[in-house]
Amino acid sequence: MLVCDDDERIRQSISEALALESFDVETAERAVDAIQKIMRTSYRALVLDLKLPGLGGLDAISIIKRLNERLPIIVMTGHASYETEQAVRAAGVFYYLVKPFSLKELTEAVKAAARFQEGGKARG
Amino acid sequence: MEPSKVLVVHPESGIRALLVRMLSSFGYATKSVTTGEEAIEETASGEIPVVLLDLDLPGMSGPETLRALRAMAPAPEVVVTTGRGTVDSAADAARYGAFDFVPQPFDFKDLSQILRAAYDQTLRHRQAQHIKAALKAHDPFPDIVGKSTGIKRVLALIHKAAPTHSPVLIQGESGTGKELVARALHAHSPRAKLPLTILDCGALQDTLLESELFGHERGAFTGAHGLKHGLFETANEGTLFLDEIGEMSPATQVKVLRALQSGEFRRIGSNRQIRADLRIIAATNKDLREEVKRGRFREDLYYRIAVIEIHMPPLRERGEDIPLLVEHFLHTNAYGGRQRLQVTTEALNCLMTYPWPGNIRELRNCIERLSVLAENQVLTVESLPPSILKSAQPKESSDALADLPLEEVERLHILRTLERHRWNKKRAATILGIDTKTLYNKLRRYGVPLGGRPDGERPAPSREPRAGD
Repeated sequence: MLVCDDDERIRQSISEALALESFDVETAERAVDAIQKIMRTSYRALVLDLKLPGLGGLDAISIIKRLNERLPIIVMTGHASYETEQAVRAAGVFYYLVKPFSLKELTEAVKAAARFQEGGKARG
Repeated sequence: MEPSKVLVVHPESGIRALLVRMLSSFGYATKSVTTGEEAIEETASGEIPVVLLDLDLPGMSGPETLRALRAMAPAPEVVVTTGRGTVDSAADAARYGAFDFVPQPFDFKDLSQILRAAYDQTLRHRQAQHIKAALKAHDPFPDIVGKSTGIKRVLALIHKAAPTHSPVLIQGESGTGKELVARALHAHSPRAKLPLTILDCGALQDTLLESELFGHERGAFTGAHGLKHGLFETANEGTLFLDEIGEMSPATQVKVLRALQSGEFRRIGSNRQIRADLRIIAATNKDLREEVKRGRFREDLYYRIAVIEIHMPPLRERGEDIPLLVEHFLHTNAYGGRQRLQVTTEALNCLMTYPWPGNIRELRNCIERLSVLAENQVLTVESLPPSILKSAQPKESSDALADLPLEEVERLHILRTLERHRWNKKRAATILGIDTKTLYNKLRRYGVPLGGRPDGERPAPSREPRAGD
């Protein structure tokens, strides 16, 4: 499991919540770090903050989709403008989380993503 | 004409400064960064057509940076370089889609010419995109490849259904290309100005699925404080593709049916009705009529979504399309460098006999893997995975040559002969009854690298007995 957020507290709390569900969690601070990790390791899911310094979440999604189209991406955002949500939807994400969210919703989404990835199921 | 932009990525400040100075003097608008990470952030704007990338980078490595750059849309052309010039790194770079390789120390005149060629390539690519868009009328469904009766029937249906607002149900095994059909339907509909929104109904449990479909109001349930619009709202006036609809629970089926019947829905935790003008395209690998009979899928929802039905044939029923599909995937492969992979007749025969339980997706993944692994840009029987070799019994079949243009038969025959004789071009020419020069000319015309396989070096294991070797 890979968690990418520039806020250390959020990385920390998500990691702890997912570790409780027995997931191995790695974290990345910036989108480019997440991209590098994705090329080196195969993760079961990526939890990605949309608002990141440098390379933004939306640009990162399109690169990651082409590097590994089977990696489910769960997007977190605090700014749920209609346009943002529409753009993220168009890029094709597994689940869209609006901050602040419950850890239950997050872990449910991550579990579903891991199942989805494991099943090797992709559209078509 | 505005100066062409080049991004220089090099860890050493001295060389960076030198490159910027020299390239500027050749008329390039040059920018420079130190790391791969910076290169990606800089290029994400889409305004940099050419990157000159040193392969020896700290942090994100040169090859990783190359892969990430080539995964962008639009992707820049990348010219790679290394001070530790090895043929291996050049070959790796070509596999991941580098435009060219330049050794260090630089010959600046050469470098400038290569960068110019890379720039022209970017322009050509972008023009090709425009032309492709303009040719839409000529080849309206470029991603759905094939000339078999089965696929022709599908294309005819798409053609008829696309411009309407009718819901479409696409049925077919996994990996047959149901999503491509949905995309084609959407792209040729009056709703094409909005993106197609996709939801996999089998991946999420009810609560999450309904949150994705209908969104939620601020404070809708414990912990959910923010506003989420949901797909019914963000896909308004567009097309919503509900994949794996056969997996949807009865509870969610009712809610979706209600929304489709009334054209209205409510966000979770809200009483306000919101109008939604959606076209629904649904897909399933189940026999939905059978699911209805067994009481697992609502009949009323079935009739609402299955106004037009499209059946995708499995790949084993359209073997004649395999050569076209292979060609298509080699062409569209993300890692495709300048040189196209060639496929020998025997390898193609094997691919045509294998039953492809995973359908087109399996074929595409297979071709992608093989193009990364292939040596010398030729795909032979030996390079195929054992699973395919085992089930396909390659035979000296002339069927594979049926319906091929004469030139293609000649190309395949020449490649096969070369393959059989370890790329000894002189011997191949003698056997083919032509002189070496003619052979070279033909290879050049087919785009086979003339360096090809250096004679005698690392001979590929061949299953063919090599009499007289």
